[in-house]
Amino acid sequence: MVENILMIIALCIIAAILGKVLEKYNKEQALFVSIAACTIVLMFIVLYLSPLISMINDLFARTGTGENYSQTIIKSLGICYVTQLGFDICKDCNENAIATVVELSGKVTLIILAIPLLEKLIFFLTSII
Amino acid sequence: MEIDLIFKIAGVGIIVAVLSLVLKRAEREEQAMMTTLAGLIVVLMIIIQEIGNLFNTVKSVFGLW
Repeated sequence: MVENILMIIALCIIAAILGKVLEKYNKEQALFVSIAACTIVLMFIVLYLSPLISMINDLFARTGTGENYSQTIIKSLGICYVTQLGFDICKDCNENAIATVVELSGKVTLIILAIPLLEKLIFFLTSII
Repeated sequence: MEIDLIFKIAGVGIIVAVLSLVLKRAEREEQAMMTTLAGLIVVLMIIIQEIGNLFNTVKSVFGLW
């Protein structure tokens, strides 16, 4: 990843400039260029994330707790990852209403994901007192 | 595969823009609009396929479901 960071930055600058060039003629094409650039860079990053995720899973496995907490964490990371992309693309299209709806749905998904953990925590606390 | 995708999309956009301008000069408004729409659809198909790949990768890497 370290040696590719320059390529990513150059790619994003080129895409931004191409977007500006296209904006004068028709706005939709400019949006498409920015969406394409975001998708490509995110695809590139997610491929570098997978070894990181397996390492995190190993670390959590070593803690000895039977529960698989790391899976919930990784899932919420994925949800944030995609929701942020959708949110920013909608904001680029000046569609703030749709953007907030996307963000809200992401938050609700995260809450639903975290409910079991909260439940365990409450049971644990009540058992202590 | 990454770099040329952006240039492909930008190229399609620029060509469509120039074509529609030329058609507008030749007093063919409808064809200009049709050309713009066609370019839009072509680029949309490429983008949708690209986003589909990204979502599948994210789904498999993060184990979403």
